[in-house]
Amino acid sequence: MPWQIFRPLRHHRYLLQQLVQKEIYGKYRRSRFGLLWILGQPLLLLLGYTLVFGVFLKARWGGAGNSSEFALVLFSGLIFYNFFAEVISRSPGLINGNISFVKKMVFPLETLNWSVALAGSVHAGFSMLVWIVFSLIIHGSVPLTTLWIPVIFVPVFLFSLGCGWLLASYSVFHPDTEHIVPVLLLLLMFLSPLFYSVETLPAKFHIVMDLNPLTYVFEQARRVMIAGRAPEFRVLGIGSLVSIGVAWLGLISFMGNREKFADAI
Amino acid sequence: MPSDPIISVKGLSKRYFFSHAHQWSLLGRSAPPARQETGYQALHDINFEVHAGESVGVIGRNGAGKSTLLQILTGTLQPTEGRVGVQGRVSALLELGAGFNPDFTGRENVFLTGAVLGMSRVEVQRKFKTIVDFADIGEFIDHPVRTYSSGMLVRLAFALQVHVDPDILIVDEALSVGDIFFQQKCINKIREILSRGVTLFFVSHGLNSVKSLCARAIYLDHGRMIADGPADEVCDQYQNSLTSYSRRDWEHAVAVARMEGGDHPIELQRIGEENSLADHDFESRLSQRSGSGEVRFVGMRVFDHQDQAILSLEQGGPVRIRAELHAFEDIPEGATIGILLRDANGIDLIAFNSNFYRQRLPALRADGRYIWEIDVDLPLARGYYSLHTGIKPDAASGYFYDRCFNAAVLEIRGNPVTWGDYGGRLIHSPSTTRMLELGLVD
Repeated sequence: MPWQIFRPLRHHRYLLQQLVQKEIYGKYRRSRFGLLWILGQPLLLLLGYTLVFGVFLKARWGGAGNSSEFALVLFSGLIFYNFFAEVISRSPGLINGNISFVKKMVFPLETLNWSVALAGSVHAGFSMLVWIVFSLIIHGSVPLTTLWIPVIFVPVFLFSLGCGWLLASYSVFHPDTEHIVPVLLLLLMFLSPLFYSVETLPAKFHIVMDLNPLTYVFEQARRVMIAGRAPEFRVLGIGSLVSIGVAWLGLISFMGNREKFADAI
Repeated sequence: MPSDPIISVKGLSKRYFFSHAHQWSLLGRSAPPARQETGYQALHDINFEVHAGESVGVIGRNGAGKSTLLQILTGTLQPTEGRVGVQGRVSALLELGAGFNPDFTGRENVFLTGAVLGMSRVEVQRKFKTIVDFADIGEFIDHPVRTYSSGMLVRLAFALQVHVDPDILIVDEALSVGDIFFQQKCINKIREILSRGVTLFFVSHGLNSVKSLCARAIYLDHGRMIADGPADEVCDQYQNSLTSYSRRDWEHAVAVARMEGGDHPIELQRIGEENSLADHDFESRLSQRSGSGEVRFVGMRVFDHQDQAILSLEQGGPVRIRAELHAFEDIPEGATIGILLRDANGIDLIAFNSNFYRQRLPALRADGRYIWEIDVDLPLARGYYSLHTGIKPDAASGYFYDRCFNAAVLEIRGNPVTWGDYGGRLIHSPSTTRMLELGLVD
């Protein structure tokens, strides 16, 4: 049943907490600034985008606003894209990179995807914080509708989790997956309305945008974070259902293939 | 009333497929592999049951399927056929240090790996001190694990594993790491765990460790279960199976014996048929026997200093061991007879062979009957001991003419002069003590 997706939260809470800590602390452990990078990375990214798009390219969102505003709009979508990309790019190596968890001990492997997704959420949260501060500096305010963000984020989380489970188990049997995923992620970034809005595209390309699930995420995010409007609940509803379906399918697929892992690696 | 087994294995087979028999499928169901699929049969129709509190050793040559069996019991590998039922919390020492993060300190890794091994937060916190004390790595506990020596890493990992409080402990030769003191500590810890009623599965090539830790042993060969029974018997059977029967090994050993020559073989004296040991129970006493049979033992007895055949002996006495042999073919000179002495648990204590004393046996004639004798001091404490013997063309060969386990038994008694209670100790060292006065302080 779909609620099995959340089993690790209840049964392996302490393990998950340790794994998330490992994901986050482990990433920065050997660096000089350590945990400061959680804030430093999105901050530098945002400054970089402002510089490139605002100052060099003089890009304007929909032809209006100023350069810092463009960065703010871009970054609102980027938070979600980065989360999705982090989870997806980590997934193919999750099982392949933890062979001893598969072969040498009894371990609830499905928690690995949860830990990556939770760690990604922490990163996304800090990015969000940077965005809010940036918005306060530029506009002196943040739209109150930004509070809707968690409602938009949860389906993205589940969708990424499900795709992650599929990728993690698939790449055990097809290790090449690991090499194609970064390419696909990059293509997806440019094929999504991240640096542009759908309206600026010729109508014949709209079908590509409509088929891309990230389109809806970016548009809803910009609605609540930039335009200050409530999200479209019909989109959210369908999105949530699809996400739960993907997550559930991912889990079933992962668990079904799980016992073949030790033989396949 | 017998309880339900904690581990039950029925008709277990495991086949590794070379080609991609294991395919990913969206819902995880896979088609059975094609009949003609080539593969490697690692385990073949294994059946056994283990009850709570038993300690079982698994022995066999490399590639016999020992590790595969442990992995299946652990639950990391799935059987191809058959059913495996395991009840209770399993802690598997298949690979020490798995799950460690090199950049984390020892302390952080205890918490992380503790969680990975299935402990709760409270459990790790409660056991933290004992784990760290056991690992004995001092201030390094707050340094990243990547700075550890391999010995320290293994100590910390072992300490963690054995404090999981498992119902079933599975150990795969992990103990061959660390220094001798730590190994001793590990063995003692495993004994302590066993005394709490934990079930142990122990794979090792060290037959003595198997015999000292396990009451029962399973002997695997080429994926089949050859024997399942009392550890000392099964270990003997395994050791016996290592006896070589190949003609080439024999020729090689004879050549080596000839090359090593130089010393004259010991002289043969004729003493007459009436001196036969007449050891009619010899065959029935043996627990195991192997060898190619060009020459065979037909008796073995222990004699005291008055040349009386004995079954028990007072501590510290010199003994003469006699073995009677019957040659069926001509045996080249230079052969070696060896004796292995074991305690009541089947642990090897003393081994000696005629070659140790540079004594080469003379050539033996077909159909000749011979007595071999050796005088030796057995410095043993009270207890029961068994003698095992073998004859081979050269001291270093794996080829045996004959190899007999449990060829003779011997009880050592305390004597009125050395009354002391020797407890579990094995060695009796005859000695005289003195007390000398240096004078008085002014």
